[in-house]
This record gives sequence, structure tokens and C-alpha cells, in this order.
Amino acid sequence: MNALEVERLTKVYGEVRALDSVTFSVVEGEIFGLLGPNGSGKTTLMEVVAGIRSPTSGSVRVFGLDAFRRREEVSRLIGFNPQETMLYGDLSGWENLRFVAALYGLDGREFRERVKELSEILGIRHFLDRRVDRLSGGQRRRISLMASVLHSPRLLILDEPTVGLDPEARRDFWDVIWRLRDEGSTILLSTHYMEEADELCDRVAIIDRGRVVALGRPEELKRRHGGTARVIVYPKLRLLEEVERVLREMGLEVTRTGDGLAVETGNPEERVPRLTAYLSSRGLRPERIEIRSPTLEDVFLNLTGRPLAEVMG
Amino acid sequence: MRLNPALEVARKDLLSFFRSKSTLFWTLAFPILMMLLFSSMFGGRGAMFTVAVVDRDGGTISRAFLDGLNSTNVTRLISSESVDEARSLVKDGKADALLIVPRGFSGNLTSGSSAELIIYTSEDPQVRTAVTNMLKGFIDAFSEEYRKRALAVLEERMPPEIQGGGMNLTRRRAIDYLQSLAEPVRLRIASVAKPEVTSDTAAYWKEEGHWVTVMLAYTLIFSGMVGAASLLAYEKLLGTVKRLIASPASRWSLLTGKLLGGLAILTLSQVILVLLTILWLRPEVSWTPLIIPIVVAGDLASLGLGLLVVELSPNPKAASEAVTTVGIMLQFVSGLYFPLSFLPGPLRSLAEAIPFTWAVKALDGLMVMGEGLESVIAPAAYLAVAALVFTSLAWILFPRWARVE
Ligand SMILES: Nc1ncnc2c1ncn2[C@@H]1O[C@H](COP(=O)(O)OP(=O)(O)OP(=O)(O)O)[C@@H](O)[C@H]1O
Ligand SMILES: [Mg+2]
Repeated sequence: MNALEVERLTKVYGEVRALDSVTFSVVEGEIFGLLGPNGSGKTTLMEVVAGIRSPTSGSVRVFGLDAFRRREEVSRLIGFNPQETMLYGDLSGWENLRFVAALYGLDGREFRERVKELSEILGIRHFLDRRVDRLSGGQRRRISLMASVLHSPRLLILDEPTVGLDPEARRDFWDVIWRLRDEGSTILLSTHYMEEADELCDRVAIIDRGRVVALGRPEELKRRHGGTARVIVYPKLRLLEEVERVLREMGLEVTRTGDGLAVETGNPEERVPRLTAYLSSRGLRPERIEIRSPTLEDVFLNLTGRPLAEVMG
Repeated sequence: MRLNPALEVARKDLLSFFRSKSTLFWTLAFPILMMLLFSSMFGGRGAMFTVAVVDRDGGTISRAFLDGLNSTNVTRLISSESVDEARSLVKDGKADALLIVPRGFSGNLTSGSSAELIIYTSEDPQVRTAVTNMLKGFIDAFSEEYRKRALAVLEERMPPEIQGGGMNLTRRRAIDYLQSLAEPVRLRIASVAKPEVTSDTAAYWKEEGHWVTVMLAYTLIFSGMVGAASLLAYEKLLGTVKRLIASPASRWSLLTGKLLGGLAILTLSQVILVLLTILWLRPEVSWTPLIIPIVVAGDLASLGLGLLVVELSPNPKAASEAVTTVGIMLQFVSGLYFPLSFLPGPLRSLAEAIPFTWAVKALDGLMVMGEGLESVIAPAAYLAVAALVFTSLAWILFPRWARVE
């Protein structure tokens, strides 16, 4: 069964078409990523699914249930973790969790056991008793995430769960997300970090200006839309022109990228040793050689004509 | 309808209340400070001046004079045996002035001579002016009364016609003549729409009992509105409203929770404030359970209004400005700090239509003037209807407010 089916979902704010006939589905058990730059409509999409905004048109089904007509049932199936951590700063982590649990009708022993179990997964035991406004950003995020999964939702929606975390903390967070998936949740998450989409997600929908421009497994997307791999040769700066000439003599297509010379190739593993050998034999041994496989960044660039990072500012 | 989420909302809001220093200040410390300040300015058993009195005369008229002075509520008299004792009371700041009624005061008056009073005041020019003006005012009133009586006695005993020295006076003309000697120029004081001096007007400044009303009503007007508004607005500010509406908890339980939490906070504040007022002022108040329906319905009306204002405001900041403004205005027009009769006509009619004004009036009526059930039913019903209307509107507007559009 599909955990989520979104069909021709459109949301218009005055002049802005935040979602433009978005259609996709999420298979039960997968980690599904929405990758897109700021303002592409990720939050709008997730909040419509979570019942926080109403759509202009289109339909959303969660485990087969109409998300708008059967709000109460659907709200029990979904755990939503908003982009900003939504916690009461003047309450402790524990008090925040207790409150959210009560909204879902969870209390007493059931609640305590669930907290115990989850604090182990999330690694938050030691700061549950502190006031939330005295915790670090990463600690708050964990409590916020825990608040969203207390009721064991079957579909977990995480809006940019790792934004602002340092790379190490982000990786720790991925572990948490994998563990939650192993616990049985289907996960829909948004991100604008392409490595996150690549490494964490089973499938990715790339969205731009409210439209899904590509959808599939990361490898598939890179293969289909990422272009070929590139080998980038960095010679000593004073030899740059000469090396460029030599490479062209070899019949290669060369483009300059800053201090380097990029060569497109379908087969970098074979190309690199040959290049090095040839250049060395001419006394032009490069300082450094880089292999660049296509990334989701390239996919975005190829599909929209704009680099993801540049759109991000 | 599950109650648990509602109770949990209430519980959480109570926790937040006790952890917010500024909220605690405005709901508890501020009204107490106000009471301490104003009751010492206007209160102190109603007296503004303390006068040490040495009554060397001790006659009927001097006693009547002093009793009259004592009952004005502006002065408190301490009688002293000797001038020295009285003088030291003024020196020590225990009295503002020293009044001596000389021997022969009553005798002079009854025998038709004029009498004299001697007053020493403290050196503070403000106190000096105030005390002498007050005494002059009282003496004027006393003299006028005395004149009237003396002339009445004279008129009664005078023959209808007085003849002699070629003059022929009727009794009426003779009395008029005497009157003009005693008081060549008379000022007749008439006023345009003079505020009626009823017992509730007097109550404002002189009755400590009114402070109990102030404490209850300040809470139900101001703390209720502002409290409910911040309880709701901060959910939006923190973004936690998203979690609330993504959850299966119904808007019924969310709003009931807000009202219950608010009611608990208000009731607690009211109990604390009233206890402190009793300790400080020891007011003579008729305590009756009849105040409960007024206070509870009033609390709910103000909480409902607070919720409604937030939902009608474009953002939390505008909401907090709006409730503060409305809350302060309501305090001033509800008869909390001065009688409605002080307000200009149109504003007064408006004020009389406000449910909270009814609450203030009913509370004063019950506690200060000892009224009974008859003065509870209408205000309680009006407040309950207001509460119902405000909360229903808040309920209807809630989804529109909570959702991100
Ligand atoms: N409440 C709103 N009213 C009007 N326009 C809105 C509103 N919320 C979002 N938008 C607009 O809709 C578009 C999509 O916004 P959205 O927040 O969904 O993007 P996003 O992909 O989540 O961006 P980010 O990565 O910055 O979180 C943007 O152009 C935004 O300005
Ligand atoms: Mg977003």
C-alpha cells in the first residue's frame, strides 16, 4: 500500500503558485525526500499533507484515507515535525512531551515507556528535565522530533530536520531517522542539502517553483539527468595554458573551471591513469586530479538551468 | 468529547503562568502595589488629616462642633488633655494640626457674642493651606447653620411689629436686616448636572470595601483578557499552534483547555489578591457567596473576549497591543477607579452597556452596600451571555485563525 498519494495538488497564495499540480506517491517503508531550493514549496506541501494548511485544489490520501475528509483518523497516522522547532520554551523537555502525548491520548505508563524507548534512540535522556529555552539547537531538534513520533505515527513528515546542524550532528540525525524507519515508519522529509537527499533517501522528488521536475532513486536521477562524470586536472598555474593545449592535442574536450581543466568522460577510472602517464611523460605532471561524478546538484542544474546552490543564495 | 487534552492544555498554561515573571507581576504584584499606593493616599479609614484637639470649653456646642468635624471623613480628631501634649503630636508628625477650643466657646455663642478657635498647623506649607482651608470650609458651614438657627429663634421671639425712634419695622424686614448684617454677600451655589452624591460615589474613595471589588474586577477585566490573549497568541508565536492543529485534539478541547487554564489562573489570583486586601485594609465587607456567579461569569467573559481579540488580530503583536489597550480602557470606564457619573454623557451610556461595568456595580452592591440576590441576577445573566457570545465567536473563528493561509 502507498503511505501517501498526492494528486494534482495546487496551492495558490494570491499571485504565488506555491504548488502547481504536484503528483507523487510514497511507498510504505521508504525514506522519501523532497529536494528543492528555498521557496520551492516544500513546507507548503508538507503542511497541506499534515492538515495545517488547506490546499487550493487536488487530493491527498494517507494509507488510503482522504486526508481532508477524515482529518481525525489521518492525524493519528501522521507525525509532523515542523521546520522550526515548535516547543514551549518555558517548559522542560519532559513537560513538552507530556503535553503533546496528551493531545494524542497517550498518558501514564504507556507514555513513560515510550519516552524511555525513544530517548534511547534519540540520545536525549540527560537533558529531558531542563527547560527547553536553555537547550542547544540540536538538543531542541531532538526533543521536537521526539514529540512528533511519540504516538508511533506510520507516516513521519520531517520538514528540513537537519538544517543548521553541523555535519557531524547531521550524520547522527540520519542514524536516528534510519532507526525510526526500521521501527516501521515511512518517512517523508524535505531538504535542500543534496548530499542528504542522496545518502539518506530511497527516492527523491526534485521540486522547483512548486513543480516536481524529476522523481526517482538518487542513482537513477544522476544517471538520467546528471550528465557524465568529469575529471578535473589541476596543473601548476604557470603551466595551465600548456597543459590545456596538450589535452586538446589528445583530442579531448576541455573546459576551464577556475584553476582546473575539466574533461568529460564516461569512464573516469580508466581515463585518469592514462592522463597522468601522458602528462608526466611530457614533464607536465599535474598537482592534483579530481574525479567528479554527477551529483543531484548537477541534476537540478541540468533540469532547471540554474544551480541549486546559487538559488539557495 | 475527551476531557484529557483540555485538562492538559490548562495544566500546561498554568505551568507557563507561574514561570513568567512579567505575567506574575501584572496579575499579582501590580494590583497590590496600586492598592497600597492609592489606599494610603485616599484611605486610612477615610481621613486625610489628623487634628489634635484640646477642648477647653467642653460645652454642648463645642462638642457638637467637634462631632461634626469628626464625621466629615476628611479629618480624624485625637483629643488631647493639654496643649503641650497636642503640640508634641504635631511635632512628631502624628497629627497635622492642633486645634484649641477656648473656654467660653459655647457660652459666647449662646450669649450672642462671637467665638474664637485657635489652630496651629505643621510648618509644611501644603499641609498648612490644606488644613486651614478644610477648617475654614467646615467653620463656614457650621456658622451658616448656626446663623440660620439663631435667626429662627430670634424670629420666633420677636414681636410682629417693632416701633421706636420714628421707625416702624415689620418682623420680616427686621430679620432680613439682621441677615444682611450677618452675611452681606451671599453666594448661592447651584450646579449644572451635579453628580449625584450617592453612597456608591462615596464608596470609591472612602470605603476600603471597594478595594475588594477593585481586586476582583481588575483581575477579571484586565488579567483575564490579557491572559487569555497571551495564552493563545503565544501558541502562534512559538508555532506550536501547528502542532495543536495537526493533532487529533478537537478545537473544542483546545479552547476549553484555554478557558479552564485561564479560569484557574484568575481564580487563584483573585483569592490571593482578596486575602492580601483583607490583611492590609481590614475592610468591612459583607461576604456573600453571591459574588461567585458574578466573578466566574465575569472571568469567562473576559477570557472569551481575549481569545476573540487575538483571533481578529492580524498577528500576535497586534493582538497583544489590542488587548492591552482595550483592557486598560475597560478598567477606566467600568467604574473601577471612579464613579460612572464622572464620565461625559455619551461615554457614560456606553460604559453602562459594558458587561464588566455591571460586574463592578454588582460587586460593590453586594459587598459594600450589603445588597442581596436581587442585584445579582441581572448582572450575572448579562455576564454569562457575554461569556457565551465571546467564546462561541472565538470557537467559530478558531480554524481560520489557526491555519496558515
Ligand atoms: N502564508 C503564505 N502566504 C503567502 N505566500 C506564502 C505563504 N507561505 C509560503 N508562501 C510562498 O510560497 C512559496 C513556497 O514557500 P514554502 O515555504 O513552501 O517553500 P520551502 O520550499 O519550504 O522553502 P524553504 O526551503 O525556505 O523552507 C514561496 O514563494 C513563499 O513565499
Ligand atoms: Mg520550508
